[in-house]
Amino acid sequence: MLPSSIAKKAVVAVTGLLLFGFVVVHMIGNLQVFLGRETLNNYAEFLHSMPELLWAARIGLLTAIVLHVVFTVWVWRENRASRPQRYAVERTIRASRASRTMILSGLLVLSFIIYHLLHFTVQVTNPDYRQFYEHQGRPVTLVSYEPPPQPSSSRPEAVNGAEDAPETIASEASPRIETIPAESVPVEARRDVYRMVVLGFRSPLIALTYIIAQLLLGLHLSHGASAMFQTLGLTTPKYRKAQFLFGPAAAALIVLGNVSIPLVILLDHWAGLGLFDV
Amino acid sequence: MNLTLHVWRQQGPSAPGRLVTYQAKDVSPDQSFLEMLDGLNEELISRGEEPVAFDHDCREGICGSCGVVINGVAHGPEQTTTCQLHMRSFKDGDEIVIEPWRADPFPVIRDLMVDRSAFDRIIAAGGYVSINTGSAPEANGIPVRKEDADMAFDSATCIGCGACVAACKNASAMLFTSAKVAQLARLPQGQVERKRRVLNMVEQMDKEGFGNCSNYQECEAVCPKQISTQNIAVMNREYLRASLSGA
Repeated sequence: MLPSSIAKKAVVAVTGLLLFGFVVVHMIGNLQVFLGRETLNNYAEFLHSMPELLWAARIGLLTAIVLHVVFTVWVWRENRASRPQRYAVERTIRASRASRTMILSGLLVLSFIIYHLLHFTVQVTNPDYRQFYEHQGRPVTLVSYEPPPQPSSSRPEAVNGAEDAPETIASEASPRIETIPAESVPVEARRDVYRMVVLGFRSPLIALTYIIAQLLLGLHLSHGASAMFQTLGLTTPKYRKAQFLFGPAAAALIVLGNVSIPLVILLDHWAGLGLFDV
Repeated sequence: MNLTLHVWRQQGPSAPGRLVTYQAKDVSPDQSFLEMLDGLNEELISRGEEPVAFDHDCREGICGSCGVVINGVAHGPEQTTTCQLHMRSFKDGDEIVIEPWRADPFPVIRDLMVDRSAFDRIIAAGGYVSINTGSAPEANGIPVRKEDADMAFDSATCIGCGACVAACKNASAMLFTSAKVAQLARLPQGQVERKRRVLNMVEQMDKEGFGNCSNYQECEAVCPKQISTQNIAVMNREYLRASLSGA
């Protein structure tokens, strides 16, 4: 049996609530960029210290996104079908702009999420991020070691030695490439998320993309975060007003928090204040 | 005052319709909107043309028969029924576009008349109490909390005009259905069929082809009885509780 209209909307609301919770936690986590390299990289290391939990969360979030989108598109198609003949004159009295553009803001946010994952998580748009490591509290760039072409007369031990240490760590400050044995890399060096974020947002195009995406997310949440109370039947006459204000208020805080990261990094870079040490 | 009317004319359910322009002359600001249409029809009849078909009955805002979309707003610029809308809400020289309710489950019968029997089938699916309440029982025979009585009464004021469906961007019947669900869920007489009622009424509502609720609040904004969208929250709660508890 197909789920009812209310059941479908309940799926959208519950998955939306889950994703809303993630957005809040994600923002609080990311705001640690303002506390410096050590804090942010500690946090990133902590998140990656439990791979099973991390993957459970990732799969959960991915499932929530898929369900949220699939059910929304489903009800959206039904809604279109229920009025085949449009009005010649159509006016809107109370429906907010946010509520009427949910499908558009949602799909744009979805495309941003895909870009965001490719940018910072999978790092295919900026593959140089994969080389950003923190070694003994200092930013280092991990480079692939390419063994110089060996003359045929070279001894076999030298070739073996090069294969044992295919990667080297180079300090940013020094032009000389400092060689570190490969097996010591995972022990002493960790991913430098801080540098990735700061260098990432120094690109105006990337910063602008993130800022616009956060405004769209804010528009989406200003309706969604209030509507979920209504859809799940949680609004009560007493708290109704507050529940309808919750969405816009939460959306404003999320936009403020999330936009501040690329904006402050970019402005700092332009003004040359040097608030961020990379 | 003189007005230019663009009225939806449609011969029958399957016939193609179009907006036809008429001039309404010497309209009194004290006339109701329906009296203005009566005047137009008298002129059309005297010219040997077909009068504009529209639904109406009590003409005092309590039966829910009348209702057209006026310049994109269900029941027009005042939040009341079309029969209670007066021509003083318009200015001399105004252009007025008059269309029928538009929803797949409300097919046009003719001109501005639509078939709203989908609402009857939703009510028949559970919008009643089966227990015998006898003949006009004493008001205080079964105690009802004052708050519950007030809220049930507010929900019960729905006249089933269909403006909520007409105004909803999704042509959803959630406000209409929820008003009946919320009313009967509040009252002791409605408890026996409480779970079955909400499940069956929602099932029928979906079967009729009404849209889903997107919490636009457009329905509440045009409802001549100011039925609150809080009723929709109550219905959602009743429905989810009934389906989770296995009714």
